[in-house]
Parts: sequence; C-alpha cells; structure tokens
Amino acid sequence: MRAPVVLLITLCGLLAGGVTPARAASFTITLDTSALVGAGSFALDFQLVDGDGAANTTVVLRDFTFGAGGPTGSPTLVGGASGSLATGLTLQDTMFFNGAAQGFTPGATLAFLLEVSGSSDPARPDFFTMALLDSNGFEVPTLGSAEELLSLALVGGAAPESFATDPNRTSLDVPAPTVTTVPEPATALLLLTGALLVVHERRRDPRARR
Amino acid sequence: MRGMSGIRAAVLILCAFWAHDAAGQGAGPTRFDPSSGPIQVPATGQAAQVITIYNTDPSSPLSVDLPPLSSFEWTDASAAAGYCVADVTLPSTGPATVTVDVGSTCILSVAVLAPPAPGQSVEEIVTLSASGSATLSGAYTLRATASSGGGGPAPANDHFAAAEDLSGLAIPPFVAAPHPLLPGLIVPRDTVSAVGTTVGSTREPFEYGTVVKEDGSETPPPNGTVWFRFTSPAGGLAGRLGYRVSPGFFVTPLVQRPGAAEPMPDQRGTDFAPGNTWPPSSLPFVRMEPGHTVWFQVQATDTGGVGTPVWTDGPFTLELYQAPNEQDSILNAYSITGADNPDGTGRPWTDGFTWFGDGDTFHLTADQPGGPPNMWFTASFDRPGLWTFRAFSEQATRGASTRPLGVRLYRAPTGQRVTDPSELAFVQGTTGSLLGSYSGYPTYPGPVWSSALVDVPVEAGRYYWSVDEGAEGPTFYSLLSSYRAVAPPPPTTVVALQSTNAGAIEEGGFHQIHIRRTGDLSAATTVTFAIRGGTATTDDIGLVRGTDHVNGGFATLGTGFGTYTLTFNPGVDYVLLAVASAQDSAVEPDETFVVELLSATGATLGDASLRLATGTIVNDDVLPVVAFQSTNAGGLAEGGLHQIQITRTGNLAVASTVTFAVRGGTATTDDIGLVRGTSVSGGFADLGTGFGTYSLTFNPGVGHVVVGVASAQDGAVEPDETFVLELLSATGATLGDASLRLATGTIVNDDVPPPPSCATDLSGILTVTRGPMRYVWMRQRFEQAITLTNTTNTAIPAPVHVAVALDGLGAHVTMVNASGVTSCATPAGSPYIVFPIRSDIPWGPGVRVTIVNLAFTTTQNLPITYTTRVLGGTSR
Repeated sequence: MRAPVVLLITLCGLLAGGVTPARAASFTITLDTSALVGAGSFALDFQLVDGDGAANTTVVLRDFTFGAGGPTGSPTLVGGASGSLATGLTLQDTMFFNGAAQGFTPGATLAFLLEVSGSSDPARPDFFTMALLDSNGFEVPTLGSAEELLSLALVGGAAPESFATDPNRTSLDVPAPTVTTVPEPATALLLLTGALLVVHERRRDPRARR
Repeated sequence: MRGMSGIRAAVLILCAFWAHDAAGQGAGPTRFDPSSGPIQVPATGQAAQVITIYNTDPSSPLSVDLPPLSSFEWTDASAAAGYCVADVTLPSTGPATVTVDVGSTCILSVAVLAPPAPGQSVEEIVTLSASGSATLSGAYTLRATASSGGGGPAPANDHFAAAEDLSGLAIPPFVAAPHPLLPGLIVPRDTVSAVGTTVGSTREPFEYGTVVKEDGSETPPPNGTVWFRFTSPAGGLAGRLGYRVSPGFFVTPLVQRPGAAEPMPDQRGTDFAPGNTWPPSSLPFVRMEPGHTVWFQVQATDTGGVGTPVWTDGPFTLELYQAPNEQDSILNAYSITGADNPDGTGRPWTDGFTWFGDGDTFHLTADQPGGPPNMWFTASFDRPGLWTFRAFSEQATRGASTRPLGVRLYRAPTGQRVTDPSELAFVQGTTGSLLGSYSGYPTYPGPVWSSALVDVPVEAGRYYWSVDEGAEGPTFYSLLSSYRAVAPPPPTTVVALQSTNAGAIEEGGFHQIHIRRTGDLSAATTVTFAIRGGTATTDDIGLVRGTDHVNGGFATLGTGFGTYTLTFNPGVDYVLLAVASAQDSAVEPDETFVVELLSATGATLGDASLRLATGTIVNDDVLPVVAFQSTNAGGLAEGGLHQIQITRTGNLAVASTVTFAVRGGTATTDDIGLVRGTSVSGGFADLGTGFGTYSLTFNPGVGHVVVGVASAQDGAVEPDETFVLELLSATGATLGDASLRLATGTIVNDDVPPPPSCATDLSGILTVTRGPMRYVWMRQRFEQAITLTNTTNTAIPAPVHVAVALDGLGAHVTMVNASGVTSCATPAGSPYIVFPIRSDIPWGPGVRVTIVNLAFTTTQNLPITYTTRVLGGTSR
C-alpha cells in the first residue's frame, strides 16, 4: 500500500472511529401534507418524554419547509423546549415532559431536518414523537400507538418510525412521513475517501483501462 | 139549762167548716156561713160545724141552751179544747144545755141529719140562749145551711182563705244559747212580726162569721178581725211557735194538723219565753209540726169594761217566735189513730188530746159512748224523767158513785211506735189496781179530780198508756199528765267513726281512720275498737297505730287483727287510727278489713251506721313480665354459643317459668347444637339439642335467665344461616310485648373455599417492550404501548391472562386504566392491567404482541417511572 492510501484510510478511521463524545443522528423528514391544504389550520406537536430520568438527550428540529405554507403564530413551549418552527426547535430532556407545538399553514409538502444527540437507557428510553394537531388541539388519529406520525426511541442507532393517519378514524389522508437518514460527516468522508481510492486505483492499473 | 143569768149574753160563735163530700173528695176548706151559699155535706160521723163558745165573764159560768134541731143534730166534737161541760148527753136533735166555765171555751158542733138530695139544701135557723152570766146573756141566732154536690161559691167572707199568709216569712233559725242551768236547752232569740190593723168600731167580739142577731141585723165582716196564717212546710218548724200581739189586742190561734178535719183552738201553753230568759213563762204558744197550719185571729180587746164593750181598732203587731223544741220533743205525745191503735179495734181517735195549761201538762179527754174499755195514747221521752199524771172524770150528770179510772203504762221496747199490743212491755198499772182511782162524788160545776197525782219514773223511749174507765159504762174523763226530766240531760259525748270508708290503699299503705268525738269533750274518753277481716286475713294487716295523746305523736298499738283502744284526752275531738296493710307479693284480689267500734268509756257510741268502717287493701302485685332482652341473638361463627337473655320485670318475688322454642330461620335443626339455659340450681343446664321447645324457670328474685344456643360446626361452604327463639308461654308471668318475643341468631359460615393459586411470574418468558410514551391531547393523558415478546421456546398455552404489575409509580402518578390492584402477587397493592389473550392468538416462542397502552395522569412534570412484571393465571 502506498503512502497516500494509508493516509486516507487512517483519516477515515479517525473520522468514523467514533471518537466523538456523543452519538448524533440526523434525519430528513418529509411529509405529504397536500391532504391538509384547505382543510383548516393545523399544528405540529413535538414531544420529548424523558423515560430514564436523566438529562441525556437532545432533539433539534430545523430547516422547516412547508411548501406553499408556512408557520403561524407562536410556539407553545414546555419543559426543555425552545425555538420555533421558523428558527428551529430544540427539545432537551431536562424535564419529564418537554414539548413544543406551533401552528402552520400546510402546503403540499412539509420537510425538516431531525437531529438527535445523546442516548437514553434502552430499558426506559426517552421518546421523541411528532403528531399533527387539528384546529381543536387534538391529534389527527394515526396508526401509531399514541396517535403519533413519528416516534423515535432515543437510544443509539434507533431510527424513527412513522405512521400514516388512521383512515378508520379520520378523513385526512396523510401518508406516513418519509424518513431519510443523513449521513454523519465521518461517514461521508469515509465514503468520499473510498470513492477517491477506487478512482485512483483504476487510473493506475493499465489493465483497468484496457 | 142551768145557771143562765144576765140579760146580755154574748154567744160567740165561731164557725169553721172543713167539709168533705161524701165521696171523700177534697173540696177545699170552706166555712159555714148561714148567710151565704151552701156548704158541702160532710161525711157521716164527722163534725160539720164547730161552734165555739167563749165565756169571757170573769165571775160566772155561762149556761147555753141548745135548742132542738130538725134538720141538723148536735154533735160533740169532743169538747177537746176547753172546759165545756155538757149537762146532758147531747141528743142528736137536742135540746140540751152546756155550761161554759169562767174564762173557758166550749166547742160544740152541728151536723146535718141527713144529706140532702143532690142539688138540694137544707137550712135551719138556730137560736142559742145564754144565761147565767151577768154580762153575756142573750140570744143569738145563726142559720145552718147544708147542701150536697156542687160545692157552690166560696163564702165571700172566708177569713181562713183570706188570711194573710205568713208562711213565706222565714222565721230565723235558732242560735244555740245554752241555758246556764240546763245545758242543752236552747231558747229562742229570733222572731218574725206581722202587722195589721183592725177596723170596725161596732164589731162583736170574737166573731169571724156573720152573726145574725135576733133582730135580724147582721154585722158584716171583717168587723175588726185580722187573720194570719202560718204553715210549717215539710222539714220546717217543729216545735213551739210563740206568739204575742200588741197591747189592746188579743190573738186566738187555731191549728189544723195534717189529716185533721178542721182547725182547733190550740193554745198549748203560756210558758214560752222569747229571748234568753228562763224560765219561759211569758208567752203563749202553739205547737207546730211540719204540715201544720196555724191561723191567728187578731182582734181588739174590749176596752170599755164589762157591760160596756168598746172596741178600739187600730194598728197592732203580731210577733211570732220560733221556740225551742226541747220540751215539746220531750212531750212528743200523739193520739193514736185507728190504724195503729194498739187495742186492735181499728177505731179512730178523732181528737185525742189538747195541750193547754201549764206548759208541760198533757191533758187528754175522751168519751166513748158505750165504752171501750180503754183508750190509748203514746208519748216518747228522750231522757229519763218523772211522768206525772192524774186521771179524772168530768162526770157531772150521770150520777155514778164510783167510776174506777185506771191507767196502764206500757213501754215500746224498740223505742218506736208499735201496731201490735203484744210488743208492748207492761210497766205499771193493772185493772183494779189503778195508778190513780176515782174518789168522791163529782160536784157540779167543775171537774172533780178523781185521782191523786201519780209519778212514774220513765226512761228515754216511747211509752204507751191506756186509760181504762172500767165497765160501768161511758164516761167522760180526762187525763192530765206532765213530765219533767229528773235532771238536766247529762252532757252527751258521742264517739263515732268519721266515715264508713277507711279508704282503698295499696298494700303497704296506711289506712287512716278518724274517730270523732262530739258533745262534751271536757273529760277523757277511751274507745275500744276491733280490726277484723272482711276478706283480708290477719296477715294482711301490718302495724296498727293510733294517736298518742299522752306522749304525743303516734303509738303502735299492735299488729294484725285484734282489739285495741285509743284515748281522747280532754278537749280532743278526734283520734286518728292508722292501719297499715302488709306488703305481700301474692297476686290476689283486693281485700277488705273492718274497723268496728266496740265500746267507749266516758262516751256513748254513735249511730250504728258509724261504728263500722271498711278499708280496702288494693292488691298491687301483678305478674312479672318476661321478654327477650334483645331481638338480636347475635351472629357467631359455626360452633359458637349464642347467649340470649330472657329478662323478667315487675314482681320478682314469685317464681316464673317460660317456655320457648328454638326453630329455623334459614338454619335447619342440624345446624343447632346443644341448647342450654340457666339452671334453677345454679349454673347452666343442658336442655336439649337442635330445634325444639324448652323451658326455663326464674327463681324468686331472679330477674333474668340466659339461653345458650350452640351452632354446629360443619365444613360446608354456605351462606350465613339464621335461627329463631320464640317465647311461647309463661306461668307465673306474662309475656311481654310481642316485639320482644322473637330473637334471631345468625350462624356465620366459616367454611371458605381453598384459596386460588396466585399469579405465576412470567417475566422470564415474556419480555416487555415499551412503546413511545406520549401525552395524547385527545385523551388528556400519557399513553405508552406495551409489547410482550415470548423470548423463550416455552409456549404459553392459551387462553392466558397476562397481567403487568406496575410498581414504582410516583405518588404524583395515577394509572388511569388499571384493571385492579394486586393482592396475592408481590408486591401487593400494585396496579395491574389485564391483557386478555385470545385463544386464537398463537402464543408460541418468539411471538411478539403489542397489547395495549398504559395510561397515566400526573400532577407534576416529573418522570413517570415504573417497572413491569408479567403475571400468569387469573389470580393476581
């Protein structure tokens, strides 16, 4: 192995070797809200419930896009919640119940970035959930066990689960949100390094060119 | 006719007629009036007209010739009132002569010979010629008229009917004023007066009828006469009625007794004294009885002297005095009517006696033509005394030389009037051995006393005497008698019970009986009395006590029946006897005892009706009452002993037996074990087992007994059961209120099914995965899903009930959908939720089942922390 390759592998190892003090995960959440357009006013309800009693998890919600819509009003913040839909929301498990809710005008698609950091006791995990509230402040029924559209146990490696609205209990047909994992920087660097190494090897091997 | 003297004779005719028709119908009083209408024909044998002749000449007797009559006849109305001596036996048609003694009155009568035919009348002019008196001689004519039927108009000048009635004037009652010498004598003090005025200066004295003189002139009434009438009503005046009229007038009384045909002059005496004076000697009086009527004829006196009568009319006052009754009551003599004539002849005694003279003298005259051997009189004496009498004959013309005249005295043993002579006890005097005898030949004029005064001691009581004129034919005789008490009556002290009712008092109480003493209280009196049974026995009587005047207070005399004495100290008018009844416990009828006065020392016992008093001992013993103390005989587990108390209240002195039944409510006889009860000998006694009828006895003094009912111990798991005790009957007691005759006991089932196996901890087989916890706004609570996963190869057979025990929840947290709380599974008290696992869900290894949300509410924003365990089975 040549020296440049060794250097890249070492760099990737450093980036992906988990030397960061807390785990973090990011997800892009996309929600088809076209069914909500013209159906009234709605709100997004985000909750971070502390399951293990330790302040060890943080959820950041940012980069909200509402299609033709947008946030309305001011957020209702409880516990370790802060921010707004416009500026981004941060939920920390400093209390048992930490939540934020704010109205919005739906457009065709709602998307935001979900960033999770920290990890709770797997036996009694902290849970992050998102629900869609109607104009009465009640959840639009979903197929989730707690009327949520999105839930995430804040333990290492867990990915959010998403649920569509319950057609048996509501006429608002909102599909389950799409969750796309956003790679972490080290992972992205490792992938980039791997790609560069592949390209480099093909250029140096004449047999590859043949 | 003899002894007629003087030119002027005043024949004073008083005619009074009380005629009755032949049928005996009362036609009312009327008066013969020759100048007026007819009179009623009198019954045969009765006096038709009474002619009273007064001789007012102070010095000469007056002879009155009675002319022969054709349609009328002379009859002798007994001459009872006066000193009128007929020198011949009055023939039926005359002529005859009667002599009127100086200052005396003679009463004759005229009767029609034959009743006229109905509607007819007979009339005859009668001229009386008086002689022998220097001042009263003369001739007067009267017209006698009789008719039958119809009665005719009342005489216009009926002075009797027109008399002013004084009966309405209440003569004040006496106020007792004991005489200083004769204690007990009561003298009068109160009077009533009537006033009137005589009018008519030319009146003839003493007349009250129309007088037709020889010259045919008449003097119309009232001719200076005023009449008063006084009737003593039933229960009214009985005794002397004194009278007095103003100076210048005089008054003549006539008294008509009940049943008498006519009023009679009835001056009983002159010893009546108004006021507290003694001896009574100043006023005349008449004797009244209830029903008697007295007429008072007030006339002016002749103030012009003899031969020159001047009648000065004017106002006067008639005073009436209610007199003391003591002497009259002593001399309570009555003639005997035919109905009770002891001689058995039934012959009426028409006018048996007249009071006159010196007060206490009783002058009887009688004449029985053809002579019955004796005539009867009676009198009663209220105290011992000396009865003095003498019999005399006023025989004037019959010429008999010796006429034995005897009196026999008898006593009525009963003190009451008798109708059978055999009841009489002979006292003194026999035929031929007379108390007094005729002696001497009568001289004329005037009566000859024919016997010596004879004194006969008499006791208190009623006496009868007969006057025997012997067998020599009719005679005209008189009996003059008097009575004097030998001494003033001793002060009377009478002891009697105050009441015949000694009261009705419950056992143990005191019957208080007053023994009263009346009369003279100056000395001590001892009374002896007995206490004896009515229906009570001596055991029913307790202490006998009585007033102790010697030591004061009460003294115990004894106990029970017996004879006791109590003493009245001087001045004491009553003693109190207290008879206690014994308090027993016997239930019995009321009983009576009697207190009887037996004798007294220093007093006499009062009326027999007040010698006995009856006391009633009211039974206060009633049967006791038995009842359950409570209707609840308790609830005890099987095998327990139910104890029920039967109480007895009221009279506990007697023994009582109560019978009761033990029977089912829902229990059966097998559920009942031993039945026990209080034993009469103490402790408990076995009565039997199971249902049945049992008895228990209360000893005297015992207020309750206890019934013990043991329940049987079985192993059956069953509901609680009940049994009933019922009081059925009692002897020596009565059952109490029906509400306390039943008591119910409960046998509490103590047999339980085996406890279920407790939950199996499946935590090692089924793991719990918690879903997201979220606050669900629509349900206002935190919810968290639970997922069970079989982590082993062990199959959990269906159906399976799985419980999740939740523990560790904080106080601020409430699980709102828990199915219950663990009891047998540990830790107890944790909420759990049941996951019904249907049988069609395969519950094999690796199967993961999300079951249900747990739901919580919290009061604080603090963690909801809990642990879970999976439990199997149905018991948690």
